[in-house]
Amino acid sequence: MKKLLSGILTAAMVLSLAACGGGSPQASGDTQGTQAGQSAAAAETAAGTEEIRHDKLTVATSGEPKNIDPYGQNEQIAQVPLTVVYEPLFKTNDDGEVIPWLATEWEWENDTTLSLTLRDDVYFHNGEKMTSEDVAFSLSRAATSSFSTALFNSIDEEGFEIIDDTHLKVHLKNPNAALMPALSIHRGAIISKKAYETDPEGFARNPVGTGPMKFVQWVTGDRLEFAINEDYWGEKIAYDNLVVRFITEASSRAIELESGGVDVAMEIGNADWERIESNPNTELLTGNTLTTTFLVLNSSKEPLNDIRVREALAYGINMKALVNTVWQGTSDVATSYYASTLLGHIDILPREYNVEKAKELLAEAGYPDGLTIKYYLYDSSVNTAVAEVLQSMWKEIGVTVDLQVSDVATFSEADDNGEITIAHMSTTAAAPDPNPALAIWPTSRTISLRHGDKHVDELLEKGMGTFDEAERAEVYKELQEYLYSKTYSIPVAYRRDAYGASASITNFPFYPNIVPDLTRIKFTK
Amino acid sequence: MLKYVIKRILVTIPVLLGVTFIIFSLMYITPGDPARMYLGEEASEEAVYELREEWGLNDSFGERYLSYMKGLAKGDFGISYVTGQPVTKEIISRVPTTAKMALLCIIFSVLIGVPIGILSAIKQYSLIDKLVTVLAMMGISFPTFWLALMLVLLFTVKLGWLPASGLYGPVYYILPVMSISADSISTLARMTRSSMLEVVRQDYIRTARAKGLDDTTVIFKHALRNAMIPILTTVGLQFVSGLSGTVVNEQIFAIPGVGKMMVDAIKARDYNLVQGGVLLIAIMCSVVNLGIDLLYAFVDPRIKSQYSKSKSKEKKAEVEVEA
Repeated sequence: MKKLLSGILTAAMVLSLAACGGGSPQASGDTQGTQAGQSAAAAETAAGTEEIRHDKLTVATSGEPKNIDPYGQNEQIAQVPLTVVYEPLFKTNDDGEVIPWLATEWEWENDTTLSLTLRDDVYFHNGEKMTSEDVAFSLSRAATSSFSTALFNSIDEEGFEIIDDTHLKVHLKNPNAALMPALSIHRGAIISKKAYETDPEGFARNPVGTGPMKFVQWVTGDRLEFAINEDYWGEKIAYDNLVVRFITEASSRAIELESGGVDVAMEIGNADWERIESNPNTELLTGNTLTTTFLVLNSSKEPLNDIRVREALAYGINMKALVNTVWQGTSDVATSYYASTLLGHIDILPREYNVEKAKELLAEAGYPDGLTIKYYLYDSSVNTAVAEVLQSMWKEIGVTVDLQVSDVATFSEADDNGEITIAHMSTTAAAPDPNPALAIWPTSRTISLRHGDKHVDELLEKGMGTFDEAERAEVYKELQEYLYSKTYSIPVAYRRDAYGASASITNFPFYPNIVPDLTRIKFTK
Repeated sequence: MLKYVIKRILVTIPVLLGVTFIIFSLMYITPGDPARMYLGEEASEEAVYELREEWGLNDSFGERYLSYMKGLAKGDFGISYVTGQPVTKEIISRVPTTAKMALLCIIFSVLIGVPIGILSAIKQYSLIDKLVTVLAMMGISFPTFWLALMLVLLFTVKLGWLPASGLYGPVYYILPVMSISADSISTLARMTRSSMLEVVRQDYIRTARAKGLDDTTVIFKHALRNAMIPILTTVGLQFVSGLSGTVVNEQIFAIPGVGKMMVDAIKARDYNLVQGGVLLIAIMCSVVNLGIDLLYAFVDPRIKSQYSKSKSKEKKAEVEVEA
């Protein structure tokens, strides 16, 4: 069968070449154009035999996004579908190196000036050509959006020098070594200025990008639909239609994947990992994420303003037991303040489990008979499990946990008002770089930690402003050691996550930020 | 009759006004800030404040209620904070699905629940009766989400006959309807049974039998019609609860319905959407209740005569019919 197929294709190739060569010299330019077009099409079909195309790819995400404007949200559920519509200036290869995408060249003229050269052959889905204007407009939205502060607020929203359609300079307010990683993920998507300005309100639900697929429709509460962009500048995507379904229930997503209802299911629940993995029709893609969970110790409040109390709480936790009980082996004990794959990470945690030392520290701090501390908990099975384990562990050191349970909205208001004393939270690095990974630490962030320590700010700024990797790693090493010595927080777990895909899908690796690039997907059958 | 309907509709207006006030006050005193929920943790305090200002959330309770009611008077339910879409659009996109589902469930429940209730009443203490009683108890006690997942495991994973989630054609309705209806089938069967049992002990049933009527006539014409009032009430209640959405099922079967929309809106403190949704559910409740009341009149002429007391002629006529 294969032989026959290749035979036919070779024949097609030869014929098309003959057609090309046989074009009479007197033929008008038009005809020549058509012939060339035909031969190109034939060549494409020939090349296409290696590639199996599917009519439709169905992806199940864990919920409906509030909007699909790259700068109007920071939800993973919105970013996954947007990977087919929008493109960033750069992408990263599997080794984590930055590779050119919409921009072909980049150069740091100095610490705060990035000079960019753009592709000349990129068109938006509305037919407009992508120019420097669009890039400047997109990045100025990135700089001012309150959803991407940690990634892009170093960009000066008025500091763009447009040289011509394909050349521009981006000025920064302060040096930022973390900018390139941020521009290499879909958070730095290039949007059509014209499409946005024509209808700023509607843009949030009608994306116009440069990607290999165009937006078709949004069926409220049910799904998003996309169709192939025939005029795409790059490699043709391996499927013609994309449907992104909103399936909130984790077990339903897993079942849909197993029964073939969807091709990709995001956020597979821990309970379903084994089944998806052992099923020959499905594949479990799992790995370490950029998410770190941690206990907030609000050091602006009694009794946590005393470092001895904070340290006592840290010594009073058997972290390994806690993480294994709560995540059942699907997450790892945090060894520092951000994901271990990122620059400058050092193994500094977990702190030893030492009940005696904890008791001593509490006695020194003036609580020889122990104390009662309020612990804020918003409703989720993980948070509840962590709180319950801590309640029993801290009992050993004489600390009684007074649980304050509420829903997320009530919790976040309490956090806004500075009422939170201790809480279990998580933070995800938006881009694979220590700076966004440490987004909860600047004192300008007015919620949760409230440590008010300017030295942390200094080190963070130093880290942002250091472009030499080895030097930069040193700065973050110092910062981690400093954070350890101050115990403003207790890192708990490095989350692992998983998504599932049908076994026929290939070239679809696990992305640590859990925003897999759907455009890469290929099929084996 | 028409006069009664108009009167009932007029009475609904103050009820709905009361509903808006109560739900508005409840949302006002509940802690949680929609602006912070929308912007997330990354946003600065200034950004949150600005958004609150834009949404008019920094105004006093009175001002906010007044402006909301002014909007309502013009038919404007406001904008959903989360999606930025008009509340009416959000609701309208989900009501047909929920209504269709509720209607299918109630039809299915009546078609199954009522006959088995009758059967178990006329064969009291028989094997069938005991079986129905046990099954009905199980139907009520099984949590809907558990039943739903079990049905999916059986019909989708094991047998591969039915799709697991979504609503893209008639077959997609089978599993959700089955799992949602289990509870109302059981409730209806139990209600029909006890209501029928009460009626069959009445003198006029004995009379009917004594004058030689066959069983079918006795049961369907004399007994069932009189047992119908409590059954109708139950049907009405079940239908209303179906119309306000079934959160758990909508979640498991990924159905874009009213229930999940409401829960999400409450979680995000999407005030306008919550208020609009509650108002809609209140209206639907009123309409269904009115419908049920009118059905009472249809099945029981005694009630009908009460609806039109003023018209003595009609009353007389009906008394004659009854006699």
